[in-house]
Amino acid sequence: MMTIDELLTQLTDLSLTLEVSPDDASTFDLQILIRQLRKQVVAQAFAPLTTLANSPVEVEQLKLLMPQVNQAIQTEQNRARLVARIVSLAKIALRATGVNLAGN
Amino acid sequence: MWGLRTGAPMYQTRRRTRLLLLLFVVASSTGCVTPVVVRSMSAQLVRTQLAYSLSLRSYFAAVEEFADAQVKIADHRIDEITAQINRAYGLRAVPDLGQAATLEERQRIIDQLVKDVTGNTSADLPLKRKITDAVASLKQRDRDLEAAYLVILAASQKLDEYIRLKKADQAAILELTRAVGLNSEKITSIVDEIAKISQDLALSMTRLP
Repeated sequence: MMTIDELLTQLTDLSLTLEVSPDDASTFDLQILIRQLRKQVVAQAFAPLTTLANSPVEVEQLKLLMPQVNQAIQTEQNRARLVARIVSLAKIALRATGVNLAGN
Repeated sequence: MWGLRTGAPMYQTRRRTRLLLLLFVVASSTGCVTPVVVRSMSAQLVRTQLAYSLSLRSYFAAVEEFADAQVKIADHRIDEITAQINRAYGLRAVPDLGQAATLEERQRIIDQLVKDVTGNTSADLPLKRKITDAVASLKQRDRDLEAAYLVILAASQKLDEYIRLKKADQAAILELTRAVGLNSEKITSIVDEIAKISQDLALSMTRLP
């Protein structure tokens, strides 16, 4: 399939051969067509930008997983707090048995 | 200052040594303490992604500015070609008008000229619309990519938050190390070293004939 650029090149080449032709109407129509094609070429240069929208980035799974990680963080923080309490109780128990801990 | 005060310094030293050994064994056997190098890389990854998102934003802004300039150039070029075509129509009509014998014939030539010029000029509108739509599509795509990258960044930050989290095992070690007056990060790095040595040893053992 011929592109607009290729068509423009062929018509431009043809117009060069017709410039010596006595048929002014044909030459005129061809010149108009070439100029109209030049406008199409200008607009066509932006066409690749329209294909950009057809390749989306999939991030929905990440959005779904983030609250789960958040939950894991909460759970771990609760566990850490529990451990801190257990250790704290152990220190109290140690003190009760006569082991003296500084800084408490 | 934390520390065991049970009397004799020798006894205190022995107790600390036992406690530290116990900590190393617990930490290295459970493997739940996040290695220092993993924490560092995670933090660095978030910093890098944050910097990348900023440079991505400036990149999009520059490309969009360039695209806007190209639209102006394209519009100007289309207007220029349209003027050339209209001039050609006018030049074609002039000799015909001079040769027109009647008023009707003259009017017919003028009507044709107006029709040609109007048709030529109005044909530019869909072309210019096509160009602005394409650039709008680029800008929309930029916004989509930017939004997607912000989700990726947020996910990295969430993971980093988990990695940097003081986990239950780490909290226990921290509490115990406070009692013997040692820095928990130091303990973590010591555990890393122990794990590395263990791996090296395990590798050496497998290589033995």
